[in-house]
Amino acid sequence: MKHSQFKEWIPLLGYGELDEDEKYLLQQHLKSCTECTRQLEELNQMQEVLGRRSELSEQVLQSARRELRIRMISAGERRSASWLWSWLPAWQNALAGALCILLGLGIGYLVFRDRQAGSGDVVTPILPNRWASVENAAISNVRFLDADPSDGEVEFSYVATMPVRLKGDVNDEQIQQILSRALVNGQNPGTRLRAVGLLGNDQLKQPDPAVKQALMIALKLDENDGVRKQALTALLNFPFDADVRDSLLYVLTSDPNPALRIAAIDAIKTERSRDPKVLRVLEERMQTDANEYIRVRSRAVVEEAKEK
Amino acid sequence: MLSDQSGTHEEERELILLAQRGDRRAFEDLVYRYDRKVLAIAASYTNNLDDAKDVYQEVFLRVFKALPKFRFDSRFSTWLYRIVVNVCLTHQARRKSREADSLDYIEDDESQSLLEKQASDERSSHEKAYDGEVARHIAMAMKTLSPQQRLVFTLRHYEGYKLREIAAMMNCAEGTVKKYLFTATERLRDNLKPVLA
Repeated sequence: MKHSQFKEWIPLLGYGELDEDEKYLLQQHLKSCTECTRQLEELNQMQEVLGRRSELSEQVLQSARRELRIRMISAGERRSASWLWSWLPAWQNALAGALCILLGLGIGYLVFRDRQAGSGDVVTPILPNRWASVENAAISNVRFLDADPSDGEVEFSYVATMPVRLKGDVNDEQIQQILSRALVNGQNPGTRLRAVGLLGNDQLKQPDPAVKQALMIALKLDENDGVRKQALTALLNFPFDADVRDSLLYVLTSDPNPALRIAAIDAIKTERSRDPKVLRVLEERMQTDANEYIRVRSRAVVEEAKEK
Repeated sequence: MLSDQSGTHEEERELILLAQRGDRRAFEDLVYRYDRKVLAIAASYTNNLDDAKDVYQEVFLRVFKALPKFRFDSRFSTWLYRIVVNVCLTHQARRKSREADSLDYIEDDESQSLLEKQASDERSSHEKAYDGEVARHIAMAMKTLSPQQRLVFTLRHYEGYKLREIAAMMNCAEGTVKKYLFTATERLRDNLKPVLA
């Protein structure tokens, strides 16, 4: 057997990747080859210097998971959109676009008809006349559909962004949905805090399902501790179902802020702590949580639940 | 080891089917079975926590997008780790393109690598200086490896995968993996001679 072959086996010996026969042959070769013996010694030294990588902290993993959740939400929205378009043959895209425009016109008609009749709670007129959008709104994404003025007409589409003022009952579905969007998509933490405060208000008697969804997203993903805390409080107004339970358990296992984790324990104590899944998480927390108070508190809740 | 965190196959299959139908919670459960390992591989390979998190995000976003097309032709873990390998191997190119886009990017040599951070976290100040020097040498030596050599070396040395498992992840012959490991150890040995006793 060639010297070069034995040389290639040396790292494999160090990593336990040689079978018994190969190991025997290499050991015989090492007895007579000083170069390979030196190489093996250097390799052993190198392995010692390189050491072993330490375990990644739980905090790093949780932070990676949090970022992933945020990116998955937008990826999910894009996937839904691309899934819809992928079902349409190319020639039907134009038709679908035209239908969207017609739908928009229909909605516009209904809005104006209602406004002229004096009903509804929108105080600031959305579009007092057909040109108001050009005067007051920020215009973007202009696309020319007919840029030839020879017949006296042109046609284009655009996105108009304009401020809207809305006044209405906190139990109104539209109000709740807009506040829910503000809570999930708002850039400003102050705005999100106000939105979550309103969604957790005592006056809110008939919460829309979108509110619960938004509160759970904010509780798990919002970067601001205050928003997460308010979202937790607001979520407790909902029945304690599997979604609420899992959101609270997520906070208890993953939230970096101990105060939030304590608030989650407070929310699931009493009869809720007898749920087997809740008990399992509490038992895990009483062993592993970095915060001593949380470990003690978890143990107390578990013991109380088992006594009952 | 490739399937060590998967639980029972039936349970995992059920989760995959639910996730394919858009069940977000099932997808998260699936991710949480493997993501610790994925992040560890990414950290060993990139030697930088921010880069490791980038790799982690990219892997699971690819999984999220491609899962509806997963047809159980292979085990989920094999399929997942192939994605991990592909993302790691293309990470350098994506990183360079991102650096080119950002004027504020801190050059790699100026930022503290995971090895250097580990060295400075764990030792006394006297030892820190020596360990920091060694860590810098190791980081530089690792940079001399090709992406494939570096990946094989980190998977074997730091993450403890067997060569046949690495070959399955990389979808290549075990002999090829052995060649990568041999070349990697040779280069590292040459480059680390100044710090070897």
